[in-house]
Amino acid sequence: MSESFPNDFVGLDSSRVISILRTIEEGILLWNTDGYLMYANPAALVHFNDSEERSTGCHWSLLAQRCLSAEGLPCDGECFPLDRVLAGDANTRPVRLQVRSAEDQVRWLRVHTQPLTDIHGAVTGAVCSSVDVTRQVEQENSLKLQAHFDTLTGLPNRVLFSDRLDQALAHARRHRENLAVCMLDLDGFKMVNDSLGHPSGDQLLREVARRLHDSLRGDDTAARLGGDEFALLIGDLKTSGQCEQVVKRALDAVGAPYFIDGAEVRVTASIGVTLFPGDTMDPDQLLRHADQAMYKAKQAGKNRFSIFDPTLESRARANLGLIRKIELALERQEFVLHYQPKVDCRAGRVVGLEALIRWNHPVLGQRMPGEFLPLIEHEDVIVRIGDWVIDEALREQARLRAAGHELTISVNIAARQLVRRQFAERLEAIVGEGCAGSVGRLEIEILESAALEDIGTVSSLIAGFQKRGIRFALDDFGTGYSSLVHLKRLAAGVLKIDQDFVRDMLDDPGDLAIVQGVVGLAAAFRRDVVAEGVEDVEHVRMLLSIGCDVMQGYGISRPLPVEAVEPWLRNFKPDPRWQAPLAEAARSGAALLPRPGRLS
Amino acid sequence: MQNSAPLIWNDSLMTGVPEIDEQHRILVHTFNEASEKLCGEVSQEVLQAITQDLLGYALYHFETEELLMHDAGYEAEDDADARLHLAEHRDFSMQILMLRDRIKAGIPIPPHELLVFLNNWLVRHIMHTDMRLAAFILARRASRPS
Repeated sequence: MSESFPNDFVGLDSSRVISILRTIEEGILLWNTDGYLMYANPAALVHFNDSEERSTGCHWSLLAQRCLSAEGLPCDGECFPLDRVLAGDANTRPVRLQVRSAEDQVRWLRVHTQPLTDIHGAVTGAVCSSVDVTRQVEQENSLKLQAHFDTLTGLPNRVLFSDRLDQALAHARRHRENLAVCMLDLDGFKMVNDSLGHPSGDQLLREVARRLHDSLRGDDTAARLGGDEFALLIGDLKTSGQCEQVVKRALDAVGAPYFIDGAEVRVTASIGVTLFPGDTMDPDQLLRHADQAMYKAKQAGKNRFSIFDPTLESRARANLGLIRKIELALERQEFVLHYQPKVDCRAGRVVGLEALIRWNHPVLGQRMPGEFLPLIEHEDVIVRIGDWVIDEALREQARLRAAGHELTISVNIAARQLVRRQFAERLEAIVGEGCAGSVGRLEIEILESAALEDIGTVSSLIAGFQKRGIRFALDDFGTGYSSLVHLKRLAAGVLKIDQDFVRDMLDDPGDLAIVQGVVGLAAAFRRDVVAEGVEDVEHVRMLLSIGCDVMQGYGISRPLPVEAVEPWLRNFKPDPRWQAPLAEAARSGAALLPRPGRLS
Repeated sequence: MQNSAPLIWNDSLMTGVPEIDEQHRILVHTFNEASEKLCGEVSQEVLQAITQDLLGYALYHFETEELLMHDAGYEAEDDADARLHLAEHRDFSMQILMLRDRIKAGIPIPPHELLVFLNNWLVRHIMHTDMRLAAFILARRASRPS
């Protein structure tokens, strides 16, 4: 100890100061202006695992070499700022250092270095005070560990996983890389837990965690979110095939047998995967989507993975929007009915009208039923539309009756509505009201394919109401799986021949055969028959020659908006060419008439 | 089936109008899905499902576009192109309806025919007609920030 304390400043001689410094728990190191150690109290020697003989007179950098920074790196001038302090910097902060203790344990020190100055403010050396903070640091670390790691398996927990996910997303965005977020749930874990007990269940979870961790590549993360639920974060994917490989490896690893308490145990996993980019950038939503995909994997039979399809979701949303729009359209009365006349061309008179729905879409203009009804055929709104069509058609029928036109009116009803109990009640009400002329004049058109969905209900509906004056027609007959057995069970009074057969029957002998066949069937089963899709006089003549008298189509009239119906009926005259001898029809140019483009 | 390479959603398909692009992305996905299905065994149900998807697409996507078109005042500015645009929309729906009629009547639809139709639609309509509309909308938005 070559240096002595200025007596006039501390008021003590150095031996007394030293005896005081011996007693305190803090380590004290005194350095001269050249950075050599002049004094270390016993606490400091213990802290730095040093001896008085070895350390006295050594340069600070030798001491620093025996320390590591808080991050575990070699100590430099930054974490052991003696040079700076000796140069006059009085504002250094305490630093945390690690030192190996005599028992080869890590000792944590908080070291504060400050300059020693004389009364004029000149730096005469430096003092380091050190405090052993090992217990405090260990406590902090274990708290941090608990906050970020699952105590059972040692895997990252939900907090750390979402932290890593944030980082991985930022990285993937910057470097235009792909990553996959997976949710994994064990299949049948509860059974293991229940039959073998919780300790065995815990052991199984630890083993699953180890296998998951081992099945991933170095930079990927397996985390336990809770229970038997795990998450995987797979980064730097070049192809989606790569992701599948990793996921399959994880499935195989989890699915291999376990030996717990001498017993062989088996569990499998279901994994849901979502990919970035492609899916959203929001981490919570990515996890939710992976979860949805995981449930799909479970539903599909477990022990498999399923990849979330982001467009499927937006399509589902779009479809929901459409259904709502169609409901609104009904409330806002955007639907209208057009009426297509059915004419008995042999008798030369109008026998009925088919009500056809149109959607006056506020943006897209008038839309055909084929454009929107298929989208709601399994939705409840189609039932309400069907109800509205019946009401509206009956109202129009009554108006026409008042104007002197007694006509059958037919409406198209979806399968979903047909099989409801309410539909029978509704028909009951119509029949019950007697609706004056309506009885015997309302016809329900049903698709053959729709009737087959629940042939029992539909056939009893038909049988019950046909006797009481409501007629049923099988629409588009011939296009479905027509069979004689169905025709026998479905007592529908009318068969309607699909327009595609009628339109092509003049050119296609196969279609002509179908038309003839349906007409023959109708005769054999004593049903009426109506041909749709009649486009010109030749069609009319051919159908009449086959024995089909009632028909509809552009060749007779297109579907008419409601205001055009009555004038058309008033002015209707049968076309003489329909039944003129062949030569006369040819002379009048019937065969040369251009075929109009077909709409509906 | 040679025409099964998936169409990658890329910048050349982006119009720059977010509402339109989001829906186009779905269309491209629908298209790829259709191509994939059409390579397998093509049943009547598969074809009906694909065309039904396309009908749904037509209803909601065309409405979006036509509303945007209307709001931007496209008809007033370029009536001919607005008409052409609407005509292409209507034609799309009409083609799908005719296709469905044929499917219903049991007339076989060569998968290739549907793929070519969709491909042509994508290229012709999105890459040309929609691009012109989008350019107009973007210009309008730039001059009249809402």
